[in-house]
Amino acid sequence: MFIYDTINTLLAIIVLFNSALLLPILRNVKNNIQTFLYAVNIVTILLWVVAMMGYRSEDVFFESWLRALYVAAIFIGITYMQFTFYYPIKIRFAQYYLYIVNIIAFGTAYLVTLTDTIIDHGIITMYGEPNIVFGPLYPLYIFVILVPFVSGFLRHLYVIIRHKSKVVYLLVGYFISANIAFVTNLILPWFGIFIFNWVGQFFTVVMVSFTTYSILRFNVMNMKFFAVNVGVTGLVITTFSQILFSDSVSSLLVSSLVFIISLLTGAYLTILSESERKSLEHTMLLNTKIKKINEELKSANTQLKSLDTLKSEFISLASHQLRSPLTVIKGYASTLTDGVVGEMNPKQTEIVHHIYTSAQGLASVVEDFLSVTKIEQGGMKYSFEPVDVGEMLENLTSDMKIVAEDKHLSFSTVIDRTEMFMVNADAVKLKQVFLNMIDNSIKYTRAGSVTVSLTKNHQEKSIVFSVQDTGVGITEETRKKLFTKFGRGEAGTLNAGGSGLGLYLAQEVVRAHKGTITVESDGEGKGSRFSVMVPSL
Amino acid sequence: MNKKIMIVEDDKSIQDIYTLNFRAAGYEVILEGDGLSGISSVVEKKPDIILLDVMMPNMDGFAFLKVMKENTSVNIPVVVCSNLSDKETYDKAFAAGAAAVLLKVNYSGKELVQKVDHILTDSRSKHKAN
Repeated sequence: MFIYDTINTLLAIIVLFNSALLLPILRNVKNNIQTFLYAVNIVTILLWVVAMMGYRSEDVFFESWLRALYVAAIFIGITYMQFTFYYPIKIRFAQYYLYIVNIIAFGTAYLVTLTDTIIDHGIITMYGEPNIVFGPLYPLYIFVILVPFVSGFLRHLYVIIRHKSKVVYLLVGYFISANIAFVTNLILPWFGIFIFNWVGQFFTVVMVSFTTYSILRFNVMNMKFFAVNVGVTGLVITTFSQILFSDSVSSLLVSSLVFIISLLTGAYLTILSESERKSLEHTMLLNTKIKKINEELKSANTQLKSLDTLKSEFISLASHQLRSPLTVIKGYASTLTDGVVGEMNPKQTEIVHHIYTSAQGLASVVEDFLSVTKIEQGGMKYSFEPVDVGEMLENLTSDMKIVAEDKHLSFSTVIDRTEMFMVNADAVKLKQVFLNMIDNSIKYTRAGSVTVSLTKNHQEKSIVFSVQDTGVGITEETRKKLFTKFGRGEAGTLNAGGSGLGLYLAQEVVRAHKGTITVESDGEGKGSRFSVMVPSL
Repeated sequence: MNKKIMIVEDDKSIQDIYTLNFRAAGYEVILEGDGLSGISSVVEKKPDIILLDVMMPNMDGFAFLKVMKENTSVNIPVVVCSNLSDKETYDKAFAAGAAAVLLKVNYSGKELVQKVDHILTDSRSKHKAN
């Protein structure tokens, strides 16, 4: 039976307090070697304090408590060192070191418990602390205690400096407690001073508090849970000490009842706080996941943007590189056909003209691809100014008439020159649209006629350009996809060439002019009529 | 009046095409293979107009325009003729003082001569008016 003098009562409080600090750690033990090792270390500390209480009680088990006290001290150092092998960073071959230090620990424990080499015997005194007569191997014992602590301190100092780890609280806590205990519990007794033999046990609270704080301080919920634990333990300690100090049976009964009630209330509070902690922990976990996903999205977005820029640069450069040889082909061909280096015979002129028109066709395809890229990246720039579409078409149709007549098609232009056809337009781009549409009609008409007309719609305050042909016509199905990218018409039957982007681009340009582009056809083989309506000035 | 054009262009074939066409149109042609040699001879040769490529070794077209504007007193119209068509090229060229910016591939030899003729006439009439 323990005696409860002031010091033992104090030590009992320390046991309870350290136990309370152990609880949040134990909750995390599942499959986690770090917390498991720390929990084992606290358990050895608790055993050490309890052994001190038993030893100080000087009863029939005095010798057993004495040896238990010195065995527990061995395992405090050893388990601390083992903990530093894994926390905060695992060292290589940690598990093998565990075996070695455990062998040393158990060997020393054997010497303490079953031989007189370290502790010869204890002496019960009438007043003051009990005394101990040490064996010849006591200095070896001090060494076995000292080495794990020094090794643990150095390990944590290393991780603080090398890895900027935040284990400084842990190091400070252990350092203070271990140094005090080393002096009061190991060195002073060696010189026959036993009155401070319990001080080491008392100061374990510093070590346990600092370490628990160090492990849990980054987790607010754990801290809340920990606070509830400490409060509950305080309540239990108070009510329990009332039982210990009861001086009558009735007082003992009342105190026991109060103790049981506080124990149940405490358990209930702990369960409540645990359930709240779990739910909040779940929310925090979800928040962390959302943050992670957000970050992943941001990073993906940045990557896409950079890919987009790369694509844009690549297309710009590729267009330049494609244009260069085309410039040379067109340049030389036109130099020949224009008679700059002398006249050619008609056949030679015809051949070189084919080279020129093919190169021109290829250049148009390159331009179409580049234009689509620009439109899709919002990079198409327009330069609007008042333009006379009548004049523009007269110039354009005179060139196209030659192309149509080459195919033996009848080509006519109907423009009412009494009207003005002024629009706000980007002349180059709008001209390209008209050219493209006339060119399409000529391409897709095997025989018959192509008629270009320009009229005014006074109601709509707009000009209407249209091209009517007697060509392949358009089915309803084709009409739907005609203005999409690569949504070419009945080109499968005619080797029309082109990029398949012309009408898509035309629609984009017309839209930029606040206009509309439409197509009508009575069906396959029945010709078609393309119209562009643009607001007039 | 004889017209003198300086062609600053690194591509030998394009040099050849332009030389043939401009000579046929009655121009005296000065050929320079890059911006640096072009800028070195522009004051001495005093062309009436310059046809300038952009992507060239040693000194590109933009640098040529900048150096000519900042370090010489000559006032010669420069037609930037390149196969780059991005807005940045156009903006930079005009900001550096180009009289016109043309996309090479769009012009046959004859069309280019006509365009240059036109710019030169415009420039001369403006010059006279001033």
